[in-house]
Amino acid sequence: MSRLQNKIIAVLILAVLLPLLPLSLLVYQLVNQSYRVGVNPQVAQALKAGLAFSKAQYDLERQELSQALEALLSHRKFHHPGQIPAPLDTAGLALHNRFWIPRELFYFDAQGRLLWKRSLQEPDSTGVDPRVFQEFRPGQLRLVVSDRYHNRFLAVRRVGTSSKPSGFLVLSASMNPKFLQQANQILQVHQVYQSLNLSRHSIPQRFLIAFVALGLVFLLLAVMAGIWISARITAPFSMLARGTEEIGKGNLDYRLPDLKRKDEAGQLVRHFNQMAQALQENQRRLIYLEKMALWQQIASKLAHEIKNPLTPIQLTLQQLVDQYDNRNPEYAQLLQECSQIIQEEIGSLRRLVHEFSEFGRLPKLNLQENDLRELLNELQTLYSQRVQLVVTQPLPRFYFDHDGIRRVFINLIENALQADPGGHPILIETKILDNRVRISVQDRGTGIPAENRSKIFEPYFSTRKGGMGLGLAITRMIVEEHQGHIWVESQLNRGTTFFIELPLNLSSKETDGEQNENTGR
Amino acid sequence: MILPSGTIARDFTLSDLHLSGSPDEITVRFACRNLFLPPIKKSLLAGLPVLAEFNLQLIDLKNQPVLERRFTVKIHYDVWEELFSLQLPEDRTATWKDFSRLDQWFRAVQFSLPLNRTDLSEKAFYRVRISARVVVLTRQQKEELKWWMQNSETTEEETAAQERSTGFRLNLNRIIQLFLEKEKKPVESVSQLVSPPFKMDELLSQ
Repeated sequence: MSRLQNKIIAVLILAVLLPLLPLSLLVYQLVNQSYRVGVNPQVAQALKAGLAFSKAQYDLERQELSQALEALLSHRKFHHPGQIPAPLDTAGLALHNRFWIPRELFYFDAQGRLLWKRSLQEPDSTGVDPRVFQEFRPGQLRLVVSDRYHNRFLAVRRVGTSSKPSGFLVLSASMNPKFLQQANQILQVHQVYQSLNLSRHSIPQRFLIAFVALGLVFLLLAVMAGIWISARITAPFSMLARGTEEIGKGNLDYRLPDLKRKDEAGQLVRHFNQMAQALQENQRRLIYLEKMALWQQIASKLAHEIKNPLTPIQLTLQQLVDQYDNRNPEYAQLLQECSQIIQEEIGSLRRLVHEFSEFGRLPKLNLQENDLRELLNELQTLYSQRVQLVVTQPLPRFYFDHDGIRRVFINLIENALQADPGGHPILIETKILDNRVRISVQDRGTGIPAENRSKIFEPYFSTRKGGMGLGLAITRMIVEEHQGHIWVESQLNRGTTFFIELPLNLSSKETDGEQNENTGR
Repeated sequence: MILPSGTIARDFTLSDLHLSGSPDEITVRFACRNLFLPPIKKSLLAGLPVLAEFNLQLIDLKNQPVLERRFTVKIHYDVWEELFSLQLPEDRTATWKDFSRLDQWFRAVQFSLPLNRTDLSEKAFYRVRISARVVVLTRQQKEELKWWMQNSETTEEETAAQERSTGFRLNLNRIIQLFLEKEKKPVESVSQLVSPPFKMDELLSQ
C-alpha cells in the first residue's frame, strides 16, 4: 500500500475515532443519568410505599371479610354441639360490595362434613376443600385462606369453643378483579424496579458496549471505504510515477494501462500515454533526421571532392586526343574509343556529384499556408491520364512546403510509373483523420519484396540499375521535417501503395527551431 | 436492550460438608453461607423468585463423574400473604412466615445420592463434589425486563397510533439487541465444594 493511501486511510480512521471517543463517554453519561432518573432511592421509596399501601388495603379487605362473617354469626349462636344450625339469614352480611363479590356460605360440622350451603350474589361450584380446617392453630377461631390466582377467598370461622368446636362457618367471596389487577401491577412494577436495580451497572455498560460496537462497525466501514477510495485515487499516481520513471530511463515504449475512466485520473493517464507516444515519435524522427543530416554532410563533401578533379581529368584527356598526330591509325582509333568511354564515365560521375550536391543542399522548409487539393490537381494535369485523383472530403488549407511536397509526390509518381510498365493509372487518394491528412499513392506495378521494404527509405539503396537511391530518402526526409509519417504497403506482382500523413495544425514557427537543430541548416 | 449479566452473591459459599452412607445412598449435608446478601434479599422480598440449583457428583480421583444428581430449589416470597415458600424436589413445599427459618434451612441442606454398587469399587478412592448455582434474575424475569425496556417509550397515544400504522418503526433498542443479544444466561452466582477422598467401605462404616 502506498504512503498516500495510508495517509488517506489514517485520516478517515481519525475522522471516525476522534468523535467516537467523546461521544462514547457522553453516551455512557447520558445513559447513566437516564437510568438514575428511574432507578434511584426516591423511586424505590415511592414504590415501596405504594406496595405497602396496597398491601395494607389488601389486609384490611381480608379483615373485612372475616368481620363480615363474624357479624353474620352474631345473629345466631351455635354453641350446642349437637345442634345442627339452620341456614343463616344472609341479609345481614355486611360486605363492601364495591370490593367483594360474595359467592356462597357453607356450614361444616367439626369433622368437615358439609351440613348446608347457601348461594349468595354470584355463586360458583368450586366448593371447599376440608383440609383447610386443619390450618387452624390451637386457640385460633378465624382464618382467611386466599387464592389470588383463582380470585377466591375463604373466610372461615370456627363455631363453638376451640377445645370443642361444633363446626365451621365458611364464607366464599371474590375480590373485585380491578383491585387485584391494580395490586398486581404495583407489585409487578416493584419487581421490575428491583430487577433494574440489580442491573444498574451492567445495563449502561451494555449500552456503551453496543454503542462502541456500532462505532467500530462504522470504523471498519470507514477503513474499507478508505481503502477503496484511496486505491482509486492513488492508483493513477502510482502508475504515473512508475511511468515517469520508465520514461526517464529511456523506455519510451512504456504505456500506462487505460483506466477506462472519464474523470481527471483517466484523462491524466491518456494524456501521459499520448505524451509518451509523441516523445517516442519525436525521438525517432530526431534520430532519423540527425542520421540524414550526417548523410547530407558526407554527400556534400564527397560531391565536392569528386567534382574538383573531374574537370582537369576531362581537359587533360581532351588535350591528349587533340595533341596526337595520328601517325598510327589503329592507336588513333583506340584513343578515340577510350576517350569516349572516359568522357561517358566523367559524365556519370558529374551526374552523381550533382545528385550528391542536391542531396547535401536540400533547401530549408518554407512553410506557408497552401492548398493541397490545388497541388494535386496540378500534378494530375502534369501527368494527364496516368494519375487518377480521388478526393472525397474537402481538404482544408494548412501549412506545408509547396515545393518540398511537390517534389515528394513527383518522386512517388515517377517511381510508380517506372514500377508499372503496363500503363495503369496511378491512384492518389486523400482522407482526413483527426488533425492529419493521409494521402496514398497506389500503383499496380511489380511490388516491393518484403526484405527491401524497410530499406527503401535509406540513402543509396536502389534496386534499379544506375539509381542513386536518394529519391525516397529525400522524400522521407521532407515528410519527417513536416512532422509527418510515410510508410509503404506492397504485394508482389499486385502493386505498391505509399502512405503519407501530414499534420494539419503545423505552423511556420513550430518547425524552425527543429530544423536548425536537426539538420544544421 | 442487552440484558444484564454478572455475578452478585460473590461471597456465597458452601461449607460444613458432612457425608454419611448407607448401602443404597450417600447422604450429603452442607451449609450455604451468605446466600441472602442484601441485593438478593431485596429482590426476594419484592416477590422475585430465586432459584438455587445443586449438582451432586460422586467423582473419582481423576475428577471424572461416577454418579450425578441435580436438585433445584425455588425460593419465593408471597408479598401479599407475607409467606416464604421453598419448592423442593419431588413436589415438596415448605413455607414459613419468618425469614430466619428460611435462612436456617440453607444452613443445613441435606440431599441424598443413590448408589449403584455395581459401578463402584470398594478399593477405589472417591470424592463428593457439590456445585451450587444461585440464579437471581431468571430467564422469565429477564424476558419481562426486556419487554419493559423495549416498550418503555410506548404511550397510550402511540399504542392507538400503532394500530393504524404500517408496521414500520425504528426501535434503536431492538437494533442494538440484534448485534449483541447472545447473553441468554440469567444473573447468577456459583460456588463449589469438594470433599476429601474416601473409600466406600470407610464411608459405610461411619
